[in-house]
Amino acid sequence: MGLAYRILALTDDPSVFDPFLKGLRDESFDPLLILPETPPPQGEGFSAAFEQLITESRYDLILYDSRWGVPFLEKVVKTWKECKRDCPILAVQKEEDLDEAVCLMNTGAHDVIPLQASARFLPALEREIDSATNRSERRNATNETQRLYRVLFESMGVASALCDRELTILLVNSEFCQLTQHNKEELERQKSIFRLFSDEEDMQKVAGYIEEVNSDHPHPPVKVETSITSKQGFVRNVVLTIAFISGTSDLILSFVDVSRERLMQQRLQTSEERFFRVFHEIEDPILITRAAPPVVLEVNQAFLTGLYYALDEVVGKDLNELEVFARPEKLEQSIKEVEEIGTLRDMELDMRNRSGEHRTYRWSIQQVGLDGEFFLLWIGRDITERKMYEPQLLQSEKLKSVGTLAGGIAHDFNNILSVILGYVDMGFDKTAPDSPIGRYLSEIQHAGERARELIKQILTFSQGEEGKSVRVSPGRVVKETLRFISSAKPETVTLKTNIFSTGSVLIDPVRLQQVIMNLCTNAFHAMEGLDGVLEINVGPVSIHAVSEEARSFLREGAYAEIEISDTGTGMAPEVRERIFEPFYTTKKVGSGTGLGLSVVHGIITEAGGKILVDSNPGKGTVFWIYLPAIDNKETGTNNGENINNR
Amino acid sequence: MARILIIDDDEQVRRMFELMLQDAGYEVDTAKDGVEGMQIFEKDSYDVVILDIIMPEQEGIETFRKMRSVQKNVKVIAVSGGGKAGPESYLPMAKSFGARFTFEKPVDRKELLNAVHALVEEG
Repeated sequence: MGLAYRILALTDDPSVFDPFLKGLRDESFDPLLILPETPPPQGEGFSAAFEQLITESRYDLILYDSRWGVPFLEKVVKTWKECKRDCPILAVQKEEDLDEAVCLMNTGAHDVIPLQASARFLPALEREIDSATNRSERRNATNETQRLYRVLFESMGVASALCDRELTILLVNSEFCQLTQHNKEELERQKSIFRLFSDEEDMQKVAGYIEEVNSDHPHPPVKVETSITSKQGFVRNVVLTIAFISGTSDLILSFVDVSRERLMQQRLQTSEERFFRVFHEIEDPILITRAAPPVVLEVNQAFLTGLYYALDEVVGKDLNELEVFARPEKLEQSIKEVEEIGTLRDMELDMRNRSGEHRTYRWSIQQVGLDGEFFLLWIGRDITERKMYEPQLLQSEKLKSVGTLAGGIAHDFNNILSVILGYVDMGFDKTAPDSPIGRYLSEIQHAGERARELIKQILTFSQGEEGKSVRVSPGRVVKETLRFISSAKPETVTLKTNIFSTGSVLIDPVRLQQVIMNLCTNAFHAMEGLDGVLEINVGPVSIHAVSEEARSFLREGAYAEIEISDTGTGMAPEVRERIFEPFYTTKKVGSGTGLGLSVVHGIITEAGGKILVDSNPGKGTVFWIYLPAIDNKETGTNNGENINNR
Repeated sequence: MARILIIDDDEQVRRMFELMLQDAGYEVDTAKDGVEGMQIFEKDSYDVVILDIIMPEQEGIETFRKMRSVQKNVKVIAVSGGGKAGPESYLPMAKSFGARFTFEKPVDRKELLNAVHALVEEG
């Protein structure tokens, strides 16, 4: 028995192939002729039965009756290619037709033999057999190559899968199994590699890449970062390399697990972001520079905002060249000291901002070693305002301590006065008031009462005698006070008042009255014997409208302003600076206690306000009192006189 | 004769009050602080106690509290020279403890005598 030879005969008339079958049998083949059960339709498509016939079985040869025509052969070849079948096709012409023969061969026939030239059949058959043998050898060689590639594929150390263009898994290596936690059988059953992708979008991206690449042309591998989900549900970040195997429709997909790196990267990024925010949101300026020369490497927002510079104007610049340090020699000396002793604390350096304004910064500079190199870490604080107001702060501290002291001695003073006044009173019982002794006693009593008033002031000052703060209208208090003092007003002084509604303030009205009286009395003294004007203005004011000096002391908000000005003798600057100090007086010994203005200062400060003064010798003095308005946020809108809103 | 006890740490004040009240016809005892004041107070009975509120050793308020535990209806006139926290915060406290009158030093003689007289008259 010869070699079994499956032949698909595409004809309505099998007898036409008889000579060829005979030739095969002569060559000791055992040809098996397979025929379509029903003739194939000549229209657009194949019947299901015919398609199954031509695609589902393996044939060694196809004999094609040319009478079925070129287009039909074309359809057969196309269908075949689609399902990756391949076998020699010999077309047989009843009558020789060269043109048709060319068409048939172009369509896919390996040879076209006319019936009358059946003698050509055997050589053609031999050729096809040879070629089949070659193919078989080639197949063997290919098998060997495949084995080598398989070993290589298995030992490449990267999780890889061989897939067709539809990404059906054909082959996977053990690394791939390890990565996906699936075994080979599962993966082969699973078929599509797409199921492993965690992200639908990534999946489509990969499909898109593959679609773009024409398998007939060499194409460099495509890399894409994506994630896959393992069998146990762990999501792995992977770098996927898609390598196209030229001339085939197959691809190698390699997956490098980068989950750990990504996690570290993410942690690093989070930590970096955190430090970045702290670095830039901290209110104190921070610089990181090299040691020598001090080139700026990093600078935070506080530094830039404080000195009105942009990042690129500072980073990469040598501090010596930057004009922000107003005194380069001091900067140089500071850096030198840090290099010698490693750290420098609270170094005051004069800085200059972009607009040329000088600011004082207090720097702590520290040497920091990183990767074998030394850097300088600068942490500063803008102390310009603090320095400016240090004398005032000192002053208020001084006032406070004097107050405490005064409070302490007031108790003893009152005891002494009790004795003096008590005996004076008893003395009056023993003598006639108009006798010399009576008059002496009267003088002692008068002096004692003055002393008692002084002690009262001291107690007020020491906050021992705290009045009750209530809502009052400053305008009303001023008006009431003016009634008291008009009798004390010298005839030569003209009084001018402009009183507007300010809303209420929170203060002890008696003490506010004391303030107004004190300031007005001082003004009268300053204008004694002169023609002068005492002007009192009361009105609302917003913090934005007050002088810069006042603003620096006051919080955001609305204020009531009481302005008391005179055209008196005024004060020299050295006097003006000390007028709020306790026991400081310019009056003749005995005519003033020196507590007046310090008490005024204490009352206003305690009410959360501020008193400021300006004075020019020979021209006069102005006092401004600012008290926080508690119920009138909108200021400056109500200019009508309305002081009945208590 | 009505009896008055004066407790004040200031010797001159004590002496002045003593003379003032003796002149007004009262029998007066004095103590230099709260401790001594309590010893005297426990031995005898007094119509009125003039008590300085701010004193060393035993503060006036503490002395007052002890006196009340001995004699519930003791009639106390509290006086204070101020200082420290000021009379305003101590005298109201004495008042709330039951002081019948409170006076800031220096005390007006007439007002003090009127107060003593009123309390003595109560019997």
